[in-house]
Amino acid sequence: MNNLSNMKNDQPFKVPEDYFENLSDRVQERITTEENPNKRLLQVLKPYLWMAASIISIVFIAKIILTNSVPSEYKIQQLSQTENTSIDTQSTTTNPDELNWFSDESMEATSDEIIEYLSDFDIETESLLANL
Amino acid sequence: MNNKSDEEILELFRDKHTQSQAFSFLVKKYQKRLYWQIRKIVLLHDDSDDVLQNTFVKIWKGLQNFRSDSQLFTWMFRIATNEALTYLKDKQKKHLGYANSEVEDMLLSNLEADPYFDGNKAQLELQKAILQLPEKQRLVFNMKYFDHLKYDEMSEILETSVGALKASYHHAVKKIESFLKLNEA
Repeated sequence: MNNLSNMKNDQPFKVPEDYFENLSDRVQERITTEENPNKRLLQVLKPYLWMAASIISIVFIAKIILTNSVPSEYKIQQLSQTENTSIDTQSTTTNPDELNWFSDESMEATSDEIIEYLSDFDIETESLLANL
Repeated sequence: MNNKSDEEILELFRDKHTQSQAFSFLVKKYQKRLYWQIRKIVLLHDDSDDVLQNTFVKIWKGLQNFRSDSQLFTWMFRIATNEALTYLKDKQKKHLGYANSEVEDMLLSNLEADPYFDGNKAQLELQKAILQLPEKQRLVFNMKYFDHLKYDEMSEILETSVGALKASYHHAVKKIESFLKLNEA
């Protein structure tokens, strides 16, 4: 027991099977990730990127399906366009600048001017009354 | 297995296109010898695997500037030895407050539980005896007794004179034999 030469070449240590077979690949893989920190960051973010990509794809696909299946008169885009047109029409009549133009004092005709205008054109009283 | 010489491997490594291939040759050529050097120091397989991978990463980085002043093998062996010793020291720091002997006990109990240690009682006693040695004697003993390294090679790896190494080995053997005798009684 106390004689070292009796124990020589006894190897008590073992290694897992195939340990040395794929060590080179694992070392190369580690070197690649260490040399390229962006790649490492990408690996960390990979699951989240996948999640984001899937959500975007679902929204995109859903949009295409909805656009194709809804009749044209109910399409959100068309409805909003019609709405815009009506608003536009309203806005032309209610344009504050134009209102000011009509109410402009300089444009207001006095009673004398009206009488003069009517007498100049010789309009008959009957036709005037009929147009009232 | 590849039979390329160190010079051929280094030549391939200098070319960017064959660099990875050359490194793969290098790993395959020396992985076992470096592994066993590390394993004798840190004892456990999982720890050895960590240290060996760290060692190869350092070799990859250093190989870009490697000049053939020293032999490739002894240079790599030195990196592996330093990495293993640093790993052990870090492990001991994590267990601050433990006396050295307690850390050794912990290493031994881990060794007994390691599925990749298949030694009998005598072999475990031998490992226990080796753990009692000072660091330098421990290294010298393992390299000489288990790996049959030549004193010249050891001298280059450990940067110590051959005479000092022979004395270290002699002291180590004496201490181990008396430890074993004491524990047998």
